[in-house]
Amino acid sequence: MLHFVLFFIFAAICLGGAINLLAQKHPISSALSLIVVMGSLAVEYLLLGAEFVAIVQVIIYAGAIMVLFVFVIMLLNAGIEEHTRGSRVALILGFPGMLALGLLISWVLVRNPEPTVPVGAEYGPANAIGRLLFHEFILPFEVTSVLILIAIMGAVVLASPMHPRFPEPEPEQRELVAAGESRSDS
Amino acid sequence: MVPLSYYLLLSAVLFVCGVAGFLLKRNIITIFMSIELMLNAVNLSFVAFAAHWHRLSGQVFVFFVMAWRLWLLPWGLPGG
Repeated sequence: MLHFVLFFIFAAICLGGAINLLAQKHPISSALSLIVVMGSLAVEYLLLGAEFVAIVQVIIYAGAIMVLFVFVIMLLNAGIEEHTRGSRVALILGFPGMLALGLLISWVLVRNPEPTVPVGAEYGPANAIGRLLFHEFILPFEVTSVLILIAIMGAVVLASPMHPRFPEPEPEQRELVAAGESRSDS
Repeated sequence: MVPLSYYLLLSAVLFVCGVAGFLLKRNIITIFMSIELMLNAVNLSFVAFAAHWHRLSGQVFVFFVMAWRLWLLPWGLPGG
């Protein structure tokens, strides 16, 4: 019963954040509502017994990715977006069709609910996931580490001051520039 | 316990919100945020199926999705 109550509360918060992301015009408001969505999704993961995923969700999404988004918004000085008028085809065909399809799918799903089995004590802790990662999924894990190494190297190369942004002028051009300077001096 | 279908419905609605934001929004950063929303919806369905069938592999897949997203972080790219 407590699971139901918590599920519905945080599902409502999650959906509210997602709809607010669509409704807001300024990107910083959208970013803040996305943080709300990710936090409530972390609670949903906890309700499913996935503690590791919930913690990683908070650390990576709310900690790293959202900080990047806020930095980019502040650096690019993104303003309020302008709206265009929606197309008539979407209004006549798209929205009723999507509504009908969504109602059909949700009717089918709610009518025959498959109960999830209660979560055991040995399910979902970090050590079980670690064991799985290092036994069955060892190859994808190693490939991921190489991928992260590529990302680090790319960041270093992009941010390096050795990287020549503007090409050096050719020797003849340099002489021309020097001649122009001496002419302006005289 | 909450049935699996409720989680799937929540995931589907979140995914639809992400697709709508991707198609309707004009700002490139908000489009990236919509892609994040879609990734999160897929992660939720992964974890729900993992809890349903008592397989931890679903959570490991979520871990790989997050690692992939982190790989795109230095370039500031969306998780596409």
